[in-house]
Amino acid sequence: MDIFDKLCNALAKIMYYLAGLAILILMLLSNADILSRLFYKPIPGTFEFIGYLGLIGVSLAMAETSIRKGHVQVSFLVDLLPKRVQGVIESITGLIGFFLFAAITSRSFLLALDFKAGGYVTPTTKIPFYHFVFGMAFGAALVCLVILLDVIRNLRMMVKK
Amino acid sequence: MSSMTIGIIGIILLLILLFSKMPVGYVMAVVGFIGFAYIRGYDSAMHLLAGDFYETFSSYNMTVVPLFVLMGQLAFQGGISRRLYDSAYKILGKYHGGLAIATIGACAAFSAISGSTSATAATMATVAIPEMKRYNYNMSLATGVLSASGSLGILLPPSVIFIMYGILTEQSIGKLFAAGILPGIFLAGLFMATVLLIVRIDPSLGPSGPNFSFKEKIRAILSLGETLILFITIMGGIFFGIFTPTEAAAAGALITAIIAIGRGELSWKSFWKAMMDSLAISCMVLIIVSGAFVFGHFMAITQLPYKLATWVANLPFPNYIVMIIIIFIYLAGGCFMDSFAMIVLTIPIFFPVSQTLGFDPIWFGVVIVLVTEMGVITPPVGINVFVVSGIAKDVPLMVIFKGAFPFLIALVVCSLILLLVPPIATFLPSLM
Repeated sequence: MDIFDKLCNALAKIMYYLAGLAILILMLLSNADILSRLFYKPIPGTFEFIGYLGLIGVSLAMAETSIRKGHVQVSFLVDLLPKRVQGVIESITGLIGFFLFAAITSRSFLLALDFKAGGYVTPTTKIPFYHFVFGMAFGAALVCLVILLDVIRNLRMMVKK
Repeated sequence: MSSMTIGIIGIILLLILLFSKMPVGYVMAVVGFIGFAYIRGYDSAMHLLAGDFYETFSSYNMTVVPLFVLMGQLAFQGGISRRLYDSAYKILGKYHGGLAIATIGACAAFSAISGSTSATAATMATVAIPEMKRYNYNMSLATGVLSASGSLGILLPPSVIFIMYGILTEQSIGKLFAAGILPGIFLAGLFMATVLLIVRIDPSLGPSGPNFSFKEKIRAILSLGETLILFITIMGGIFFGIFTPTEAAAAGALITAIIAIGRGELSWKSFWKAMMDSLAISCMVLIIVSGAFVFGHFMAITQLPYKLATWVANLPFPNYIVMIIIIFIYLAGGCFMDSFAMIVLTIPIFFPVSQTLGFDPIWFGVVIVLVTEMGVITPPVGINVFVVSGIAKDVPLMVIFKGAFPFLIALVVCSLILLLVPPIATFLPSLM
Protein backbone atom coordinates (compact mmCIF):
# COMPACT_ATOMS: atom_id res chain seq x y z
CA MET A 1 0.00 0.00 0.00
CA ASP A 2 2.77 2.41 0.98
CA ILE A 3 4.34 2.19 -2.44
CA PHE A 4 0.96 3.02 -4.06
CA ASP A 5 0.52 5.97 -1.70
CA LYS A 6 3.98 7.28 -2.48
CA LEU A 7 3.50 6.85 -6.21
CA CYS A 8 0.11 8.54 -6.15
CA ASN A 9 1.42 11.44 -4.04
CA ALA A 10 4.42 11.93 -6.32
CA LEU A 11 2.22 11.92 -9.42
CA ALA A 12 -0.23 14.37 -7.84
CA LYS A 13 2.67 16.66 -6.91
CA ILE A 14 4.11 16.60 -10.46
CA MET A 15 0.67 17.42 -11.89
CA TYR A 16 0.33 20.22 -9.34
CA TYR A 17 3.59 21.77 -10.56
CA LEU A 18 2.39 21.48 -14.15
CA ALA A 19 -0.87 23.16 -13.11
CA GLY A 20 1.18 26.00 -11.57
CA LEU A 21 3.09 26.33 -14.83
CA ALA A 22 -0.20 26.56 -16.77
CA ILE A 23 -1.44 29.40 -14.51
CA LEU A 24 1.93 31.18 -14.82
CA ILE A 25 1.72 31.00 -18.65
CA LEU A 26 -1.91 32.14 -18.45
CA MET A 27 -0.89 35.22 -16.42
CA LEU A 28 1.99 36.09 -18.77
CA LEU A 29 -0.10 35.52 -21.91
CA SER A 30 -2.89 37.78 -20.64
CA ASN A 31 -0.39 40.56 -19.83
CA ALA A 32 1.40 40.15 -23.16
CA ASP A 33 -1.97 40.46 -24.90
CA ILE A 34 -2.79 43.69 -22.99
CA LEU A 35 0.57 45.24 -23.95
CA SER A 36 0.39 44.00 -27.53
CA ARG A 37 -3.14 45.40 -27.86
CA LEU A 38 -2.03 48.78 -26.47
CA PHE A 39 0.91 49.21 -28.83
CA TYR A 40 0.09 47.05 -31.85
CA LYS A 41 -2.77 44.54 -32.08
CA PRO A 42 -4.14 41.74 -29.84
CA ILE A 43 -2.38 38.35 -29.84
CA PRO A 44 -4.66 36.05 -31.88
CA GLY A 45 -6.32 33.25 -29.90
CA THR A 46 -5.55 34.68 -26.43
CA PHE A 47 -9.18 34.40 -25.33
CA GLU A 48 -9.46 30.70 -26.20
CA PHE A 49 -6.02 29.72 -24.88
CA ILE A 50 -6.63 31.42 -21.54
CA GLY A 51 -9.70 29.22 -21.14
CA TYR A 52 -7.79 26.02 -21.98
CA LEU A 53 -4.85 26.93 -19.74
CA GLY A 54 -7.37 27.47 -16.93
CA LEU A 55 -8.87 24.04 -17.68
CA ILE A 56 -5.44 22.37 -17.43
CA GLY A 57 -4.49 24.41 -14.35
CA VAL A 58 -7.56 23.41 -12.35
CA SER A 59 -7.82 19.82 -13.63
CA LEU A 60 -4.23 18.94 -12.81
CA ALA A 61 -4.44 20.62 -9.39
CA MET A 62 -7.47 18.58 -8.26
CA ALA A 63 -5.61 15.53 -6.94
CA GLU A 64 -3.09 17.45 -4.83
CA THR A 65 -5.90 19.68 -3.49
CA SER A 66 -7.66 16.49 -2.33
CA ILE A 67 -4.45 15.22 -0.70
CA ARG A 68 -4.05 18.58 1.08
CA LYS A 69 -7.70 18.29 2.26
CA GLY A 70 -8.21 21.67 0.65
CA HIS A 71 -11.96 21.37 0.11
CA VAL A 72 -14.61 23.14 2.15
CA GLN A 73 -16.62 20.67 4.22
CA VAL A 74 -19.04 20.91 7.13
CA SER A 75 -17.32 18.77 9.73
CA PHE A 76 -18.55 19.91 13.13
CA LEU A 77 -21.38 17.33 13.37
CA VAL A 78 -19.31 14.29 12.30
CA ASP A 79 -16.44 15.41 14.57
CA LEU A 80 -18.76 14.94 17.58
CA LEU A 81 -19.25 11.23 16.79
CA PRO A 82 -17.04 8.33 18.00
CA LYS A 83 -13.93 7.73 15.85
CA ARG A 84 -15.23 4.43 14.51
CA VAL A 85 -18.51 5.95 13.30
CA GLN A 86 -16.53 8.83 11.78
CA GLY A 87 -14.46 6.27 9.89
CA VAL A 88 -17.59 4.54 8.54
CA ILE A 89 -19.16 7.84 7.41
CA GLU A 90 -15.93 9.05 5.81
CA SER A 91 -15.53 5.74 3.95
CA ILE A 92 -19.09 5.95 2.57
CA THR A 93 -18.76 9.59 1.50
CA GLY A 94 -15.33 8.74 0.08
CA LEU A 95 -16.85 6.03 -2.10
CA ILE A 96 -19.58 8.42 -3.29
CA GLY A 97 -16.82 10.90 -4.22
CA PHE A 98 -14.96 8.12 -6.01
CA PHE A 99 -17.99 7.27 -8.16
CA LEU A 100 -18.55 10.96 -8.90
CA PHE A 101 -15.01 11.42 -10.23
CA ALA A 102 -15.10 8.07 -12.03
CA ALA A 103 -18.16 9.36 -13.90
CA ILE A 104 -16.39 12.65 -14.71
CA THR A 105 -13.30 10.73 -15.88
CA SER A 106 -15.14 8.38 -18.20
CA ARG A 107 -17.41 11.03 -19.70
CA SER A 108 -14.67 13.63 -20.24
CA PHE A 109 -12.53 10.91 -21.84
CA LEU A 110 -15.40 10.21 -24.26
CA LEU A 111 -15.83 13.96 -24.81
CA ALA A 112 -12.14 14.25 -25.75
CA LEU A 113 -12.48 11.31 -28.15
CA ASP A 114 -15.52 12.99 -29.72
CA PHE A 115 -13.60 16.26 -30.15
CA LYS A 116 -10.71 14.34 -31.71
CA ALA A 117 -12.89 12.27 -34.06
CA GLY A 118 -14.94 15.31 -35.08
CA GLY A 119 -11.78 17.29 -35.89
CA TYR A 120 -12.86 20.16 -33.63
CA VAL A 121 -10.43 23.10 -33.55
CA THR A 122 -10.23 26.45 -31.72
CA PRO A 123 -12.20 29.17 -33.57
CA THR A 124 -9.35 31.68 -34.09
CA THR A 125 -6.09 29.75 -34.27
CA LYS A 126 -7.60 26.52 -35.68
CA ILE A 127 -5.65 24.30 -33.29
CA PRO A 128 -7.18 20.98 -32.05
CA PHE A 129 -8.07 21.26 -28.36
CA TYR A 130 -8.97 17.68 -27.46
CA HIS A 131 -5.58 17.31 -25.68
CA PHE A 132 -6.77 19.71 -23.00
CA VAL A 133 -9.92 17.64 -22.45
CA PHE A 134 -7.79 14.49 -22.09
CA GLY A 135 -5.88 16.49 -19.45
CA MET A 136 -9.14 17.03 -17.57
CA ALA A 137 -9.96 13.28 -17.78
CA PHE A 138 -6.48 12.45 -16.45
CA GLY A 139 -6.83 14.96 -13.59
CA ALA A 140 -10.20 13.46 -12.60
CA ALA A 141 -8.78 9.89 -12.81
CA LEU A 142 -6.00 10.90 -10.42
CA VAL A 143 -8.60 12.23 -7.96
CA CYS A 144 -10.32 8.80 -8.12
CA LEU A 145 -7.03 7.17 -7.17
CA VAL A 146 -6.42 9.60 -4.29
CA ILE A 147 -9.94 9.06 -2.90
CA LEU A 148 -9.74 5.27 -3.28
CA LEU A 149 -6.41 5.07 -1.44
CA ASP A 150 -7.84 7.32 1.26
CA VAL A 151 -10.86 5.02 1.70
CA ILE A 152 -8.65 1.90 1.85
CA ARG A 153 -6.39 3.60 4.44
CA ASN A 154 -9.47 4.53 6.44
CA LEU A 155 -10.88 0.99 6.36
CA ARG A 156 -7.53 -0.56 7.34
CA MET A 157 -7.27 1.77 10.31
CA MET A 158 -10.78 0.83 11.43
CA VAL A 159 -10.00 -2.89 11.15
CA LYS A 160 -6.78 -2.45 13.18
CA LYS A 161 -8.72 -0.69 15.99
CA MET B 1 -43.52 11.29 -8.42
CA SER B 2 -43.80 14.94 -9.47
CA SER B 3 -40.65 16.88 -10.34
CA MET B 4 -41.38 19.22 -7.39
CA THR B 5 -41.29 16.27 -4.97
CA ILE B 6 -38.02 15.07 -6.51
CA GLY B 7 -36.61 18.59 -6.05
CA ILE B 8 -37.57 18.63 -2.37
CA ILE B 9 -36.08 15.14 -1.83
CA GLY B 10 -32.94 16.44 -3.58
CA ILE B 11 -32.64 19.33 -1.11
CA ILE B 12 -33.10 16.96 1.86
CA LEU B 13 -30.41 14.63 0.46
CA LEU B 14 -28.18 17.65 -0.08
CA LEU B 15 -28.49 18.66 3.58
CA ILE B 16 -27.82 15.09 4.80
CA LEU B 17 -24.67 14.74 2.67
CA LEU B 18 -23.57 18.28 3.52
CA PHE B 19 -23.45 17.50 7.23
CA SER B 20 -21.61 14.21 6.60
CA LYS B 21 -18.25 15.97 6.09
CA MET B 22 -18.29 15.43 2.33
CA PRO B 23 -16.74 18.33 0.37
CA VAL B 24 -19.46 20.86 -0.49
CA GLY B 25 -18.65 20.86 -4.22
CA TYR B 26 -18.90 17.05 -4.40
CA VAL B 27 -22.24 17.08 -2.55
CA MET B 28 -23.85 19.51 -4.98
CA ALA B 29 -22.53 17.61 -8.01
CA VAL B 30 -23.67 14.20 -6.65
CA VAL B 31 -27.19 15.35 -5.73
CA GLY B 32 -27.54 17.28 -9.00
CA PHE B 33 -26.36 14.23 -10.95
CA ILE B 34 -28.69 11.74 -9.20
CA GLY B 35 -31.69 14.06 -9.46
CA PHE B 36 -31.05 14.84 -13.13
CA ALA B 37 -30.56 11.13 -13.88
CA TYR B 38 -33.87 10.28 -12.17
CA ILE B 39 -35.82 12.79 -14.26
CA ARG B 40 -33.98 12.81 -17.60
CA GLY B 41 -32.10 9.49 -17.60
CA TYR B 42 -28.56 8.31 -16.88
CA ASP B 43 -27.03 9.31 -20.21
CA SER B 44 -28.27 12.91 -20.02
CA ALA B 45 -27.00 13.18 -16.45
CA MET B 46 -23.53 11.89 -17.43
CA HIS B 47 -23.44 14.41 -20.24
CA LEU B 48 -24.52 17.21 -17.87
CA LEU B 49 -21.93 16.29 -15.22
CA ALA B 50 -18.88 16.24 -17.49
CA GLY B 51 -20.24 19.16 -19.51
CA ASP B 52 -20.71 21.43 -16.48
CA PHE B 53 -17.22 20.64 -15.10
CA TYR B 54 -15.67 21.17 -18.54
CA GLU B 55 -17.55 24.45 -19.15
CA THR B 56 -16.60 25.81 -15.72
CA PHE B 57 -12.93 24.83 -15.82
CA SER B 58 -12.41 26.08 -19.38
CA SER B 59 -14.40 29.29 -19.02
CA TYR B 60 -12.42 32.46 -19.75
CA ASN B 61 -14.37 34.29 -17.02
CA MET B 62 -13.45 31.70 -14.40
CA THR B 63 -9.71 32.21 -14.85
CA VAL B 64 -10.19 35.41 -12.87
CA VAL B 65 -10.31 33.23 -9.72
CA PRO B 66 -6.76 31.75 -9.75
CA LEU B 67 -5.34 35.12 -10.86
CA PHE B 68 -6.93 37.22 -8.10
CA VAL B 69 -6.11 34.57 -5.49
CA LEU B 70 -2.51 34.53 -6.78
CA MET B 71 -2.35 38.30 -6.48
CA GLY B 72 -3.35 38.15 -2.80
CA GLN B 73 -0.84 35.38 -2.11
CA LEU B 74 1.94 37.31 -3.87
CA ALA B 75 1.09 40.41 -1.81
CA PHE B 76 1.49 38.30 1.33
CA GLN B 77 4.70 36.56 0.25
CA GLY B 78 6.11 39.86 -1.04
CA GLY B 79 5.64 41.61 2.32
CA ILE B 80 2.98 44.09 1.09
CA SER B 81 0.61 43.09 3.91
CA ARG B 82 3.33 43.69 6.51
CA ARG B 83 4.16 47.12 5.07
CA LEU B 84 0.47 48.07 5.08
CA TYR B 85 0.25 47.23 8.76
CA ASP B 86 3.49 49.11 9.53
CA SER B 87 2.15 52.24 7.83
CA ALA B 88 -1.19 52.14 9.63
CA TYR B 89 0.64 51.42 12.90
CA LYS B 90 2.92 54.46 12.54
CA ILE B 91 0.02 56.76 11.74
CA LEU B 92 -2.49 55.55 14.38
CA GLY B 93 -0.52 53.51 16.93
CA LYS B 94 -0.07 56.24 19.56
CA TYR B 95 -3.82 56.52 20.32
CA HIS B 96 -5.77 54.31 22.73
CA GLY B 97 -7.02 51.42 20.60
CA GLY B 98 -4.82 52.77 17.80
CA LEU B 99 -3.25 49.41 16.97
CA ALA B 100 -6.69 47.80 16.66
CA ILE B 101 -7.81 50.67 14.39
CA ALA B 102 -4.57 50.30 12.42
CA THR B 103 -5.40 46.61 12.01
CA ILE B 104 -8.83 47.47 10.57
CA GLY B 105 -7.26 50.04 8.22
CA ALA B 106 -4.59 47.57 7.08
CA CYS B 107 -7.24 44.84 6.57
CA ALA B 108 -9.32 47.26 4.47
CA ALA B 109 -6.26 48.17 2.38
CA PHE B 110 -5.21 44.52 2.02
CA SER B 111 -8.79 43.66 1.01
CA ALA B 112 -8.25 45.90 -1.99
CA ILE B 113 -5.73 43.37 -3.28
CA SER B 114 -7.09 40.16 -1.75
CA GLY B 115 -10.38 38.50 -2.53
CA SER B 116 -10.83 36.22 0.44
CA THR B 117 -12.05 36.79 3.96
CA SER B 118 -10.01 34.10 5.71
CA ALA B 119 -6.86 34.97 3.71
CA THR B 120 -7.18 38.59 4.88
CA ALA B 121 -7.70 37.53 8.51
CA ALA B 122 -4.79 35.04 8.40
CA THR B 123 -2.40 37.44 6.68
CA MET B 124 -3.06 40.32 9.03
CA ALA B 125 -3.14 38.13 12.13
CA THR B 126 0.45 37.02 11.54
CA VAL B 127 1.70 40.63 11.59
CA ALA B 128 -0.77 42.33 13.98
CA ILE B 129 -1.06 39.86 16.87
CA PRO B 130 2.61 39.98 17.97
CA GLU B 131 2.48 43.81 17.93
CA MET B 132 -0.74 44.06 19.93
CA LYS B 133 0.64 41.50 22.38
CA ARG B 134 3.83 43.60 22.75
CA TYR B 135 1.77 46.66 23.73
CA ASN B 136 -0.36 44.68 26.21
CA TYR B 137 -3.56 44.77 24.23
CA ASN B 138 -6.41 42.70 25.59
CA MET B 139 -6.21 39.52 23.51
CA SER B 140 -9.97 39.20 23.24
CA LEU B 141 -10.12 42.64 21.55
CA ALA B 142 -7.02 41.94 19.42
CA THR B 143 -8.22 38.59 18.07
CA GLY B 144 -11.85 39.73 17.81
CA VAL B 145 -10.93 42.72 15.68
CA LEU B 146 -8.84 40.53 13.38
CA SER B 147 -11.55 37.90 12.92
CA ALA B 148 -14.14 40.54 12.05
CA SER B 149 -11.93 42.73 9.85
CA GLY B 150 -11.24 39.78 7.57
CA SER B 151 -14.83 40.16 6.37
CA LEU B 152 -13.77 43.36 4.61
CA GLY B 153 -11.84 41.04 2.27
CA ILE B 154 -14.93 39.92 0.40
CA LEU B 155 -16.82 43.20 0.46
CA LEU B 156 -14.06 45.41 -0.90
CA PRO B 157 -13.01 44.44 -4.46
CA PRO B 158 -11.60 42.20 -5.77
CA SER B 159 -13.85 39.64 -4.13
CA VAL B 160 -14.02 35.95 -5.05
CA ILE B 161 -17.62 35.74 -3.81
CA PHE B 162 -18.75 38.65 -5.97
CA ILE B 163 -17.04 37.02 -8.98
CA MET B 164 -18.96 33.80 -8.39
CA TYR B 165 -22.23 35.59 -7.69
CA GLY B 166 -21.75 37.53 -10.93
CA ILE B 167 -21.09 34.39 -12.97
CA LEU B 168 -23.93 32.34 -11.46
CA THR B 169 -26.51 35.14 -11.81
CA GLU B 170 -25.12 36.63 -15.06
CA GLN B 171 -24.48 40.03 -13.47
CA SER B 172 -21.57 42.34 -14.30
CA ILE B 173 -18.56 41.52 -12.10
CA GLY B 174 -17.31 45.10 -12.53
CA LYS B 175 -20.63 46.47 -11.21
CA LEU B 176 -20.56 44.05 -8.26
CA PHE B 177 -17.01 45.14 -7.41
CA ALA B 178 -18.09 48.79 -7.54
CA ALA B 179 -21.14 47.98 -5.40
CA GLY B 180 -18.96 46.59 -2.59
CA ILE B 181 -16.76 49.69 -2.23
CA LEU B 182 -19.03 52.06 -0.25
CA PRO B 183 -20.49 49.38 2.08
CA GLY B 184 -16.91 48.11 2.64
CA ILE B 185 -15.61 51.56 3.60
CA PHE B 186 -18.70 52.17 5.73
CA LEU B 187 -18.22 48.84 7.52
CA ALA B 188 -14.53 49.61 8.16
CA GLY B 189 -15.67 52.94 9.70
CA LEU B 190 -18.20 51.12 11.90
CA PHE B 191 -15.51 48.66 13.07
CA MET B 192 -13.22 51.58 13.95
CA ALA B 193 -16.05 53.30 15.85
CA THR B 194 -16.63 50.02 17.74
CA VAL B 195 -12.97 49.94 18.83
CA LEU B 196 -13.14 53.59 19.96
CA LEU B 197 -16.25 52.82 21.98
CA ILE B 198 -14.64 49.76 23.61
CA VAL B 199 -11.47 51.63 24.67
CA ARG B 200 -13.52 54.59 25.86
CA ILE B 201 -15.35 52.27 28.26
CA ASP B 202 -12.12 50.56 29.35
CA PRO B 203 -8.89 52.23 28.11
CA SER B 204 -6.76 49.42 29.58
CA LEU B 205 -8.04 47.07 26.84
CA GLY B 206 -6.13 49.00 24.15
CA PRO B 207 -3.16 50.92 25.60
CA SER B 208 -1.50 53.61 23.49
CA GLY B 209 1.56 52.61 21.47
CA PRO B 210 4.72 54.56 20.57
CA ASN B 211 4.62 58.00 18.97
CA PHE B 212 6.42 58.41 15.64
CA SER B 213 7.86 61.62 14.22
CA PHE B 214 5.95 63.65 11.62
CA LYS B 215 8.53 62.68 8.99
CA GLU B 216 8.03 58.98 9.69
CA LYS B 217 4.27 59.39 9.45
CA ILE B 218 4.57 61.09 6.04
CA ARG B 219 6.86 58.29 4.88
CA ALA B 220 4.29 55.77 6.13
CA ILE B 221 1.52 57.49 4.15
CA LEU B 222 3.69 57.55 1.02
CA SER B 223 4.42 53.82 1.33
CA LEU B 224 0.70 53.14 0.90
CA GLY B 225 1.24 54.23 -2.71
CA GLU B 226 1.96 50.73 -4.06
CA THR B 227 -1.40 49.42 -2.82
CA LEU B 228 -3.10 52.49 -4.27
CA ILE B 229 -1.44 51.89 -7.66
CA LEU B 230 -2.64 48.28 -7.64
CA PHE B 231 -6.17 49.24 -6.66
CA ILE B 232 -6.40 52.01 -9.26
CA THR B 233 -5.03 49.68 -11.97
CA ILE B 234 -7.57 46.97 -11.20
CA MET B 235 -10.67 48.99 -10.44
CA GLY B 236 -9.88 51.83 -12.84
CA GLY B 237 -9.28 49.32 -15.64
CA ILE B 238 -12.56 47.50 -14.98
CA PHE B 239 -14.55 50.67 -14.23
CA PHE B 240 -13.55 52.42 -17.46
CA GLY B 241 -13.83 49.26 -19.57
CA ILE B 242 -10.09 49.05 -20.39
CA PHE B 243 -9.72 45.55 -18.92
CA THR B 244 -11.92 42.52 -18.52
CA PRO B 245 -11.87 41.30 -14.88
CA THR B 246 -9.55 38.44 -16.01
CA GLU B 247 -7.09 40.91 -17.56
CA ALA B 248 -7.28 43.13 -14.47
CA ALA B 249 -6.46 40.12 -12.29
CA ALA B 250 -3.55 39.06 -14.55
CA ALA B 251 -2.15 42.62 -14.59
CA GLY B 252 -2.67 42.93 -10.82
CA ALA B 253 -0.81 39.66 -10.15
CA LEU B 254 2.08 40.66 -12.40
CA ILE B 255 2.38 44.19 -10.95
CA THR B 256 2.29 42.76 -7.39
CA ALA B 257 5.10 40.36 -8.32
CA ILE B 258 7.12 43.19 -9.93
CA ILE B 259 6.68 45.45 -6.85
CA ALA B 260 7.73 42.64 -4.52
CA ILE B 261 10.71 41.63 -6.69
CA GLY B 262 11.71 45.30 -7.01
CA ARG B 263 11.80 45.58 -3.23
CA GLY B 264 13.88 42.41 -3.05
CA GLU B 265 11.19 40.64 -1.02
CA LEU B 266 10.06 37.97 -3.47
CA SER B 267 12.35 35.08 -4.25
CA TRP B 268 11.60 32.39 -6.83
CA LYS B 269 10.84 30.07 -3.90
CA SER B 270 8.28 32.42 -2.32
CA PHE B 271 6.76 33.14 -5.74
CA TRP B 272 6.27 29.42 -6.25
CA LYS B 273 4.86 29.05 -2.72
CA ALA B 274 2.29 31.76 -3.56
CA MET B 275 1.43 29.90 -6.77
CA MET B 276 1.04 26.54 -5.01
CA ASP B 277 -1.18 27.97 -2.25
CA SER B 278 -3.37 29.85 -4.69
CA LEU B 279 -3.84 26.72 -6.84
CA ALA B 280 -5.42 24.73 -3.99
CA ILE B 281 -7.76 27.62 -3.09
CA SER B 282 -8.76 28.15 -6.74
CA CYS B 283 -9.34 24.45 -7.30
CA MET B 284 -11.57 24.28 -4.23
CA VAL B 285 -13.57 27.31 -5.44
CA LEU B 286 -14.01 26.03 -9.00
CA ILE B 287 -15.11 22.55 -7.90
CA ILE B 288 -17.78 24.16 -5.72
CA VAL B 289 -18.91 26.30 -8.65
CA SER B 290 -19.02 23.29 -11.02
CA GLY B 291 -21.06 21.40 -8.42
CA ALA B 292 -23.36 24.41 -8.09
CA PHE B 293 -23.94 24.40 -11.85
CA VAL B 294 -24.85 20.69 -11.84
CA PHE B 295 -27.16 21.22 -8.85
CA GLY B 296 -28.59 24.38 -10.45
CA HIS B 297 -29.46 22.47 -13.64
CA PHE B 298 -31.21 19.80 -11.58
CA MET B 299 -33.15 22.48 -9.70
CA ALA B 300 -34.09 24.12 -13.00
CA ILE B 301 -35.69 20.97 -14.45
CA THR B 302 -37.66 20.39 -11.24
CA GLN B 303 -38.88 24.00 -11.59
CA LEU B 304 -38.75 24.18 -7.79
CA PRO B 305 -37.03 27.63 -7.58
CA TYR B 306 -39.51 29.20 -10.00
CA LYS B 307 -42.53 27.70 -8.25
CA LEU B 308 -41.06 28.81 -4.91
CA ALA B 309 -40.51 32.31 -6.34
CA THR B 310 -44.13 32.50 -7.58
CA TRP B 311 -45.42 31.21 -4.25
CA VAL B 312 -43.34 33.73 -2.29
CA ALA B 313 -44.39 36.57 -4.60
CA ASN B 314 -48.05 35.74 -3.93
CA LEU B 315 -47.66 35.68 -0.15
CA PRO B 316 -49.76 38.34 1.58
CA PHE B 317 -46.63 40.02 3.03
CA PRO B 318 -44.75 43.10 1.89
CA ASN B 319 -41.50 42.37 -0.02
CA TYR B 320 -39.25 43.53 2.79
CA ILE B 321 -40.70 40.87 5.15
CA VAL B 322 -39.75 38.19 2.60
CA MET B 323 -36.28 39.77 2.34
CA ILE B 324 -35.93 39.62 6.13
CA ILE B 325 -36.91 35.92 6.06
CA ILE B 326 -34.27 35.28 3.35
CA ILE B 327 -31.71 37.16 5.47
CA PHE B 328 -32.49 34.99 8.49
CA ILE B 329 -32.00 31.84 6.38
CA TYR B 330 -28.58 33.12 5.24
CA LEU B 331 -27.73 34.14 8.79
CA ALA B 332 -28.59 30.68 10.15
CA GLY B 333 -26.80 28.93 7.27
CA GLY B 334 -23.75 31.15 7.67
CA CYS B 335 -23.36 29.91 11.25
CA PHE B 336 -22.80 26.36 10.00
CA MET B 337 -21.18 26.81 6.64
CA ASP B 338 -18.44 28.70 4.87
CA SER B 339 -19.93 31.92 3.46
CA PHE B 340 -18.75 31.18 -0.09
CA ALA B 341 -20.27 27.69 -0.08
CA MET B 342 -23.48 29.00 1.47
CA ILE B 343 -23.96 31.63 -1.23
CA VAL B 344 -23.11 29.35 -4.16
CA LEU B 345 -25.38 26.64 -2.75
CA THR B 346 -28.42 28.86 -2.32
CA ILE B 347 -28.18 31.11 -5.38
CA PRO B 348 -30.11 28.68 -7.63
CA ILE B 349 -32.97 28.77 -5.11
CA PHE B 350 -33.11 32.34 -3.81
CA PHE B 351 -31.96 34.41 -6.77
CA PRO B 352 -35.16 33.72 -8.80
CA VAL B 353 -37.18 34.62 -5.68
CA SER B 354 -35.35 37.95 -5.34
CA GLN B 355 -35.97 38.72 -9.00
CA THR B 356 -39.67 37.90 -8.81
CA LEU B 357 -39.91 40.29 -5.88
CA GLY B 358 -38.24 42.98 -8.00
CA PHE B 359 -35.06 43.46 -5.94
CA ASP B 360 -32.01 44.98 -7.61
CA PRO B 361 -29.74 41.95 -8.34
CA ILE B 362 -26.57 43.89 -7.48
CA TRP B 363 -27.96 45.17 -4.18
CA PHE B 364 -29.30 41.68 -3.33
CA GLY B 365 -25.78 40.27 -3.91
CA VAL B 366 -24.16 42.80 -1.58
CA VAL B 367 -26.76 42.21 1.15
CA ILE B 368 -26.42 38.41 1.18
CA VAL B 369 -22.61 38.61 1.09
CA LEU B 370 -22.69 40.93 4.09
CA VAL B 371 -25.16 38.75 5.97
CA THR B 372 -23.30 35.47 5.40
CA GLU B 373 -20.11 37.23 6.51
CA MET B 374 -21.59 37.40 9.99
CA GLY B 375 -21.29 33.63 10.00
CA VAL B 376 -17.49 33.77 9.82
CA ILE B 377 -17.37 35.14 13.38
CA THR B 378 -20.27 33.27 14.97
CA PRO B 379 -20.15 29.80 16.56
CA PRO B 380 -20.14 26.89 15.87
CA VAL B 381 -18.42 27.29 12.46
CA GLY B 382 -16.75 30.71 12.59
CA ILE B 383 -14.09 30.22 9.91
CA ASN B 384 -12.23 33.47 10.64
CA VAL B 385 -12.21 32.75 14.37
CA PHE B 386 -10.64 29.34 13.63
CA VAL B 387 -8.08 30.95 11.33
CA VAL B 388 -7.08 33.57 13.93
CA SER B 389 -7.05 30.93 16.67
CA GLY B 390 -4.60 28.92 14.57
CA ILE B 391 -2.21 31.88 14.71
CA ALA B 392 -2.91 33.11 18.28
CA LYS B 393 -2.60 29.57 19.69
CA ASP B 394 -2.62 30.67 23.35
CA VAL B 395 -6.01 32.41 23.08
CA PRO B 396 -9.02 30.09 23.73
CA LEU B 397 -11.66 29.94 20.98
CA MET B 398 -14.44 31.28 23.20
CA VAL B 399 -12.34 34.34 24.08
CA ILE B 400 -12.03 35.14 20.34
CA PHE B 401 -15.76 34.60 19.75
CA LYS B 402 -16.43 36.95 22.70
CA GLY B 403 -14.00 39.52 21.32
CA ALA B 404 -15.67 39.39 17.92
CA PHE B 405 -19.17 39.93 19.32
CA PRO B 406 -19.13 43.79 19.37
CA PHE B 407 -18.05 43.69 15.71
CA LEU B 408 -20.95 41.36 14.93
CA ILE B 409 -23.24 44.16 16.17
CA ALA B 410 -21.44 46.54 13.78
CA LEU B 411 -22.10 44.05 10.93
CA VAL B 412 -25.81 43.92 11.88
CA VAL B 413 -25.99 47.74 11.91
CA CYS B 414 -24.27 47.89 8.50
CA SER B 415 -26.73 45.33 7.06
CA LEU B 416 -29.74 47.23 8.41
CA ILE B 417 -28.48 50.50 6.91
CA LEU B 418 -27.86 48.76 3.59
CA LEU B 419 -31.43 47.42 3.67
CA LEU B 420 -32.85 50.85 4.41
CA VAL B 421 -30.56 52.82 2.08
CA PRO B 422 -29.90 50.66 -1.04
CA PRO B 423 -28.04 53.46 -2.91
CA ILE B 424 -25.02 52.78 -0.66
CA ALA B 425 -24.54 49.70 -2.86
CA THR B 426 -26.22 50.78 -6.10
CA PHE B 427 -24.85 54.32 -6.51
CA LEU B 428 -21.35 53.48 -7.83
CA PRO B 429 -22.53 50.73 -10.25
CA SER B 430 -25.12 53.18 -11.63
CA LEU B 431 -22.25 55.38 -12.83
CA MET B 432 -20.78 52.58 -14.98
